[in-house]
Amino acid sequence: MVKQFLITRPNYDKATAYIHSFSKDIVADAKEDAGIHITDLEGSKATDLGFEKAIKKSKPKLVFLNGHGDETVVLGHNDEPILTERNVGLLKGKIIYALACESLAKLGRIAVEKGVKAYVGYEEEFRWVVDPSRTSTPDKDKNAAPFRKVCLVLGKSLLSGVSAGKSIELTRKEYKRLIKNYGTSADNYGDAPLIGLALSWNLLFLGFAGDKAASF
Amino acid sequence: MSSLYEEQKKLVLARLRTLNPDAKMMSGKNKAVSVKELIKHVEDDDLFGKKIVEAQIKMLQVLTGVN
Repeated sequence: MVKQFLITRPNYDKATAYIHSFSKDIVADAKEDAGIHITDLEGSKATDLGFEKAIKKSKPKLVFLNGHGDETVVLGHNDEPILTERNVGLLKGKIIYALACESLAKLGRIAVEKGVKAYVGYEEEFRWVVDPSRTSTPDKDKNAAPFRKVCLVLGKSLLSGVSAGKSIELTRKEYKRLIKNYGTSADNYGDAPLIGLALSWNLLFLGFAGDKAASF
Repeated sequence: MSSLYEEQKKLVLARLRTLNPDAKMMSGKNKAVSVKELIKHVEDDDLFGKKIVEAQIKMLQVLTGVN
């Protein structure tokens, strides 16, 4: 039986351009897998209306939200709220992974109270380091590469059916491996120590609510 | 605030002061923060500064195999 996967990935400013870039390999993997049907709400398709319609139509078991956010909302295209307490009940029984600032802190907990099986996300802002000469081409930004890698590890783990708890464990392991790589750089004046700090920040605030055994 | 925290803060400030003050961290909220600003937050002991201390200590724990 084909498994249904839905992803939102707006791309309308510098931050969403990077987060969109981080999602590309996950989308490519899902498209290559005959056992997965992907509903890809990319760019201007990531609207409140489009999201709710797609949830009702495709009934995905795994939902991956990319974009801006805060404790109470995940945003879509042009800062349009697509997930709030108002509509989170639509995601009952699903696994959510939100690459969006702070949403685990409140929205994730509310989502689980309203029946979401597991909500994976960040309690604080998601952070990364950019090469200022590469901000118009995030795919080529080497400073962003370790952040892309951890997003890929988490996304691929969930997508391949690894449980939410184990996926978090694997991602934390990858964070630690990367911190060891970047944190021991002898070049203090380069970007590596700051990359190490941003990775440590994300490691500290990555978490989940709900059933750790939940899997796609 | 505990003396342990004060010691951690000193350590973190010493570490941050070795970095390029103009290097910046991005966030999903489109807010870039420079090393210079990170130092100010830690010196001011505000909520963000305290979280930076926590993150830097986490990094040191990972590097030393404590965590």
